[in-house]
Amino acid sequence: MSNAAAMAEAEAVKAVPVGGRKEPRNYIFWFAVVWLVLVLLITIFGEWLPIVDDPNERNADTIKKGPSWDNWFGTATFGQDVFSRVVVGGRISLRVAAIGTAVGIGVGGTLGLLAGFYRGWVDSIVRLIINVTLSIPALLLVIFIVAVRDQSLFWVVFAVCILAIPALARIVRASTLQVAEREYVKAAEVVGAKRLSILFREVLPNVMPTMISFAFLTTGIILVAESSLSFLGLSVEAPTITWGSIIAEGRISFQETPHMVFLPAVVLFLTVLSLNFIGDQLLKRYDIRESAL
Amino acid sequence: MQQDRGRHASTWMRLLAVLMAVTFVAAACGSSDDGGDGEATSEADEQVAVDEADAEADADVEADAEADTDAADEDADMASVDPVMGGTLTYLVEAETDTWDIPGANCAVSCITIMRAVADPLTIINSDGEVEPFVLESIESNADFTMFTMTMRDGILFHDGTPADGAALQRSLQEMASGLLQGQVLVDLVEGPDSVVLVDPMTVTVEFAKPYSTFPRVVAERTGWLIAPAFWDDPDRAGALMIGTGAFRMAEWTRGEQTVLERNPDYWRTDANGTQLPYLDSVVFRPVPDVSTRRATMEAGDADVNMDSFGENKAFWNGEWLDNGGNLLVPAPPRETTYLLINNGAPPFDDPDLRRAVALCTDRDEYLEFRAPANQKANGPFAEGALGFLEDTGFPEFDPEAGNALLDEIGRPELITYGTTNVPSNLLTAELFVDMWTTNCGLNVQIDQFDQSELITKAITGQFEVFLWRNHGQGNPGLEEIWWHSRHAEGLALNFGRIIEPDLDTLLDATWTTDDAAELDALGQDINRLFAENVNNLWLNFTEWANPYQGNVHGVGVLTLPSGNFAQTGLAGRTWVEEAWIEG
Amino acid sequence: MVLVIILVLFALLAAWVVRVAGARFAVKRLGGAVLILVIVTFGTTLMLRQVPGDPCITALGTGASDEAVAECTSERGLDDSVVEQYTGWVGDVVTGDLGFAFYKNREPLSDVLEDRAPRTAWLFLYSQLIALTVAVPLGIWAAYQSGRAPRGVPRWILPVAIAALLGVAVVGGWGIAGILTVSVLVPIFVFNGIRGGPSGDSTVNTGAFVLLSIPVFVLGETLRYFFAIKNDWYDLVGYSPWNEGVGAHISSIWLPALVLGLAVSPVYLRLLRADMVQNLQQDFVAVAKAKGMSNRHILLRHVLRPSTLTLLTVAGLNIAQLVNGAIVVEFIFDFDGVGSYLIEAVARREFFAVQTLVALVAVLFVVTNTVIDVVYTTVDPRVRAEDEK
Repeated sequence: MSNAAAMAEAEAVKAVPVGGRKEPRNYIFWFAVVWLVLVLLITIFGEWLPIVDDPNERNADTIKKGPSWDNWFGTATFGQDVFSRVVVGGRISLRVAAIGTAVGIGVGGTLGLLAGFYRGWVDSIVRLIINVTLSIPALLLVIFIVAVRDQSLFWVVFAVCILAIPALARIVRASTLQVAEREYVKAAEVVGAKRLSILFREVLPNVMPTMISFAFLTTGIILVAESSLSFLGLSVEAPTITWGSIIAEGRISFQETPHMVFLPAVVLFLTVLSLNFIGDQLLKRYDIRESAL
Repeated sequence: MQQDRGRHASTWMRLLAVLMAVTFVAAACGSSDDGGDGEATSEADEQVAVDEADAEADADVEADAEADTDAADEDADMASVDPVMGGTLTYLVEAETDTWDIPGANCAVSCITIMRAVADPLTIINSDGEVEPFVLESIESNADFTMFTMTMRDGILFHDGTPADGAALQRSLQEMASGLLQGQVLVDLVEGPDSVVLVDPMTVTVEFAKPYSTFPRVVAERTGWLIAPAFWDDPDRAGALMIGTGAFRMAEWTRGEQTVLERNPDYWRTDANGTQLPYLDSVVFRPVPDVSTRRATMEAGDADVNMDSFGENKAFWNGEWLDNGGNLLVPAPPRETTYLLINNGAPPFDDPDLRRAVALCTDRDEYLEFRAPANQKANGPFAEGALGFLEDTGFPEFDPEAGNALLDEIGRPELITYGTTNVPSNLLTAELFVDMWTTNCGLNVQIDQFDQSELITKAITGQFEVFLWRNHGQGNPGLEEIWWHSRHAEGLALNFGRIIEPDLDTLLDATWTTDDAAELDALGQDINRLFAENVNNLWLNFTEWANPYQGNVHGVGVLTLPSGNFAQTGLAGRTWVEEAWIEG
Repeated sequence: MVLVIILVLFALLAAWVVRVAGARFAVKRLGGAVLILVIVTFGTTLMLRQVPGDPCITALGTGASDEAVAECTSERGLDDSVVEQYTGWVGDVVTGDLGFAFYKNREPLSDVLEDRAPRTAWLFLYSQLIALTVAVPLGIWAAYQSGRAPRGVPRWILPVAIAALLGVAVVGGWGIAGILTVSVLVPIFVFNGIRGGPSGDSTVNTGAFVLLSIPVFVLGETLRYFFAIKNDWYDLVGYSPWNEGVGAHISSIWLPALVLGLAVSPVYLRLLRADMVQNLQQDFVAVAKAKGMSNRHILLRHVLRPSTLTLLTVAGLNIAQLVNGAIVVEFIFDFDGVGSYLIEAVARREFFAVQTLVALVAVLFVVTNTVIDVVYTTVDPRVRAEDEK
């Protein structure tokens, strides 16, 4: 091989962006979006839809049956329709995840923004908060909070919020630091715009994409955290249904009810996958490098 | 040229990828088929399950034949095949034991199972339901059952080498009599522990202030375990290892993980051929609270013996497990009763009308269908085959209208707290009852969840309203006195339900004055009717305990008494491993 | 004893950092870590006071006598101020008294840890090894492949494949496993198909992505089902230590370690791949290439080597993942390690044991990360200079 060819090949390697040569048509992105919208719609409308029955209706004729035409996801210990339970359980799981993410963005985002923009002592304090919270592994922290208080919906939500805040604060802070270095922000400073107006008009809009991308990823993480908690029997108590609690119930007599473990798990998995994928695609689209943050 | 080869390679890659994907799916579907069959059998309701199992067996003649010979073998090989010496038996138990200090301990089924292998009881109930002396040479009573004379067998040694003589027996009984819980069993001793008298080196007498005809049965377990003086002298005996005279000595006890028993080479019993017992080198008891994990461990062949009181699993052990060559202990006829234990001594259930109303609102058939299919419905505490059994006791049947009417009359309590351990399957049962009472009768019920270890403490201290319980599997109404008599209803009480009914006391006292089966049966039936009338407890079903064990394990539940008779094989999940052995 | 050794090692480390990087840097880095440690552990103590009612009453259980509760209250410093309670706790822990759980006859927590921590440590070690064995070769391969042109897969492959899958599934019965396998495979397949064929990079990357999205408990439950119940390839008999023989030891731990390893591997994989792809774009790679070095040589010596440091940093951060995973995995496999002890203690409402455990994990986490961070930055003057800015 000649040197020239080697150089050319090296150039080619250099030129190829991460993850493929040409931007492919993004069916999978839309698949993820459609799946999420579908999950959201079905869980929101729930019992009003003809396909969803009363999730608590007991039926002695259909105890622990596998999937069938009448019961798409099979039936549970008391003969309830697992599909309906997944729909209604998803409402709680998703609500917990949504609230957690919203609080994470609201509180964590604000903290990160202030820290990254004002630097100095504000930054020190926020960094300390982030480091302190992140020094306890997430699941352990959630278990600790729920164990110390109780397993009510409020404390579960509270626990996942504690999880989401530092995670988002860290990302937003890093992103703000980057944005604040950019020319247009510097320019605005030179022109003499007010600090606060720079923050809201120049910095915030440019931090937004990062925040939104990571909001998707965070929602996925919270979904997994909550369902892990349910799986360990430490989340919201019965008769409240969550995805994790359906799986935990299926585990009791695993040999007879594998459908109660695997089908909700597949729904959970696909939802998390979709959230992760959308987050990841957004990061790519806005050319945000995870490693740079 | 190079380019061409590259294209070839990529075609290969594509093909390979498609092939792999198909193989994966095929493999997955293949294995899911097996699962499908199993599901069908256990999911269908009882009748269908039996039919299907039959059909399956017909179709699969080979497997059927195999299973049959296995089952037949089980009886035959006791006599014909020589037991194999050595080996370790892994035994799954449902709970950890927090202490071996029996007089004050809440020794339940798991604890009893282990204790049976370590300590010998004074007497044992044989397979005909009669009492026989075991570690005792003899036990005699006077005519009115107030005075008992017990003589020890010669030459028995504790695990620490000290002799198990009359003095040791006296010490053991005195310690039991001074214990917080066992003391209540021996509460009628004339002068407390001092009434246990050593009359000669091997003989002890006990004297009671009132007739106690069931005493010889009482010392067949807990109260009657012979424990070494060295254990009693241990200043830290709450955390000490048990020392008894049993076939195995306790070698290691790691809380929450395992209790290891090792063969006692100086055990006093031999088998019919004169071989020194026990056959096994060691037994490892592993506490696994999760019933499904226990079942999975057994199915995977990773443990030898299991205990399971979970009604839902009954069909599995009787069907698939046996079909696959597993063994299942045939228990003695007396069975425990599963019921909702009601605290009669505190609001809101101190009102008999509320108890009746709740019983009227409880669809017990629905409970059976969902939580204990193939179990027999109980209308009283005594199971079929035990003394005192009645098919119809007059216990209120499900009648929500009557229940609502009664509630409208007496008013609904503000809140009922249903207590439950945090074991997942118990939580499901709790959910069922809460939903029943809420939807059928508009009661306001909340679930109080706590750890398994809290359950018995709550019962003893009376800090509960209602929870799921199982008890009363002794087969003799006289043995239940301790659980129901009003004199045990104060403070730390064994009359957990705080039942105070003078009529019941009279009947229970009467059971202690006789050991005649017919009389006891009649008294038991009266007790049964009285319970139905007062609804002191909410009877649900007779507990079907299963003790499954692996196909290569033999002699579980076998205990040959000195008289040559056999002991009761198993009662309420407890059984014997003294004469167990492992093939191959 | 162990604690003294740790303290000595820590002092040595501090001395080394001071020598190499100067006192100011050392104080900044190590001081920050100490501050975090104090706040975290203080926070757990503070949380303990948030138990509704009296933690002592709840922890001791229903049968507790008033004296026992009073003794517990004073012993735990609950009648003192938070600060006194905290200093008392720190004093106890530093002198090696970690307290106890009530329900196990006051068995000291230090005994429990002595018994169980090695198991969890082995679990961590094996799972890390498994994760790296999976991640490093695949990461290198993916990075190497990332520069290649995507291979066009004919469009018709996808519908045909899906139809074939459905056909097989319908004929063979819609088993649970089938659904799961399909739901994992189809996204990979679809993704790959659309991304331009099963090129190494996108396959590996998607695989990592899918693995990352599977909750640990789903993975664990699935593998337990197939390896321990359906097929008897793993014995659910609990942990065997080394002295019971290598075979017994490995066979008692391989499946939990595999689950945990698979759960953490995508983090390594994705990071290594990204890092290596970035390195591949550096000028020195082009130069090396120009010099006529072999691809293999370039990949291993010039591209992988700088990435190992990054891998080390992630290993530190991954401890959090490992702890989360270990709690779930030990629960699933009934593996008597620290994680299952924690769940047990939570179920028994043993707040004091739980608090001490949480605090200890936090200490472990912070110390490890600080050590890695300090070593990393001390070794690499560029980072230090960046930091000084």
